[in-house]
Amino acid sequence: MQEPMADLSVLEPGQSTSAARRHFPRRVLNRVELALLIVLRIYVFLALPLVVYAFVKALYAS
Amino acid sequence: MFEVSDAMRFERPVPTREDALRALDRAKVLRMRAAGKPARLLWLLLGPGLLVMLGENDGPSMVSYATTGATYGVGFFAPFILLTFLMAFLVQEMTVRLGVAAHCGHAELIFERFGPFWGYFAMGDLVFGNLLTLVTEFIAIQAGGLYFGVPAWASVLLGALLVVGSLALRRYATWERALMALAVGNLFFIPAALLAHPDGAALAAALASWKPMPTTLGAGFVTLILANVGATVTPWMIFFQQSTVVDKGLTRADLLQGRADTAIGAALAAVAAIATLVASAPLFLAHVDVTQFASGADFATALKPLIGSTGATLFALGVLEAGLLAAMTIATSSSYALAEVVSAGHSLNLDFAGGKLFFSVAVGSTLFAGAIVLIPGAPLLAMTLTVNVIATLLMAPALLLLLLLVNDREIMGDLANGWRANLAGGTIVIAISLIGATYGVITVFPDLVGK
Repeated sequence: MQEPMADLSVLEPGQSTSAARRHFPRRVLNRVELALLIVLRIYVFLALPLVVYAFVKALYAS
Repeated sequence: MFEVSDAMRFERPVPTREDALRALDRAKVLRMRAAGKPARLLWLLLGPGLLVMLGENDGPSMVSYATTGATYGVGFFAPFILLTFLMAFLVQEMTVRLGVAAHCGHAELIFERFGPFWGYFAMGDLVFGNLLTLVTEFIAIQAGGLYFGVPAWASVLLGALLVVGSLALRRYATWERALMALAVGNLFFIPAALLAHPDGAALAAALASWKPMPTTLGAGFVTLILANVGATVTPWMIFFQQSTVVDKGLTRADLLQGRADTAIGAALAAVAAIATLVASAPLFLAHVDVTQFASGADFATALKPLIGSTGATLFALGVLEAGLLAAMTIATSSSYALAEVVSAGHSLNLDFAGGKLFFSVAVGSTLFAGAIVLIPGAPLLAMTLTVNVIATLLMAPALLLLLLLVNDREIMGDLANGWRANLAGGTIVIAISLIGATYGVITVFPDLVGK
């Protein structure tokens, strides 16, 4: 049985596969955003060893 | 399979199978909207919110709720679970807006707007966390199967086949409806709770007053607070819902239904979570020690003499469903994210040739997780514990990046966060960061707080 015809005009411009490959440019960050991301990097560098520590600790416990 | 109208061949560069299938789904939505049938329209647009919320009620989450009910009974934690789902709704609603505004996934947005450091970090966090979480889902599937006398290898094999089989549907709409049908199993915990003959007045009083409070507020209490938060808000949910909103083809016109979908999903998941708490409360009243319970099936076995074999069977079926649905949604979230960042095809509407990477990631991670569970002596408990740590510690960065993106007016336009949404989102980021920090301190210095 033949499927109904697809009318691609019902898709919004950004919804087609070709449009989805159009990229957003790199964002220009203001000072507050930049500060937030720096704090976040510090948080991440503290959190990652903690994850490893928790895994090793759980490994020994089990 | 489908045809593309001649007019469209000239208007768009290369119409693909993905475009055509999405267009068919969109045409149905537009017809229903034009016909003025709001209930049918909502039914068509339900999906991402329901799946993300019920998917997060996964194997480890149900164990967290069951442990909470068996340790503290019904009281403080019933309204606390409601609060965590309100928090989850606020976060996931932002991903719906981001999806309809950007028409692209979360992973690629982070990569493009914040650069490779945050792109790779978000990807690494997601893929590693998802892989470990998938292992815990297969532990739940295996444990659920063992309750019914099914050998571990058979449950894991059947689970893996079902996950891979769901991907073989090769159509987003069919995949979504199949998973929604499976998600009904999350509600098995409700009749299981009713078979525990709960005191309705006491439950209502607990929801209204947050009482009785636990008598001891040591490490055990704090850990369960953290586990309940980690059971409701996790990074994969953000990536999954935004990607499925885009794959389903939701637009700004569908925002109301997208929000309703998320709210209904959160409400159903909260009811199922509280039902699990209530169903496990008889273990608290019977003073059963659950500290050595490793899976939901242990709870089902312990509950059998207290709520009957029907209740225990429903509980075990719920655990099985929780693991299976989460395995399907989590494997797919890894696929979307990885394929997005390398600009490979990323849609459940793709055929296998067009989505080699997309399907390979889901199939590969599913087979890997299933195989790990079957390795004799594999450190499954260590993995389960680490999943909680990762989810709790790395949720704060995921939320902050989400907040930055929903405030990005170049992407969001008039859908950008207002001050109320930023206040709510900022409060959640601070709360989750404090919870993560507390978790970290308890992990490294367990003697700082009493038991």
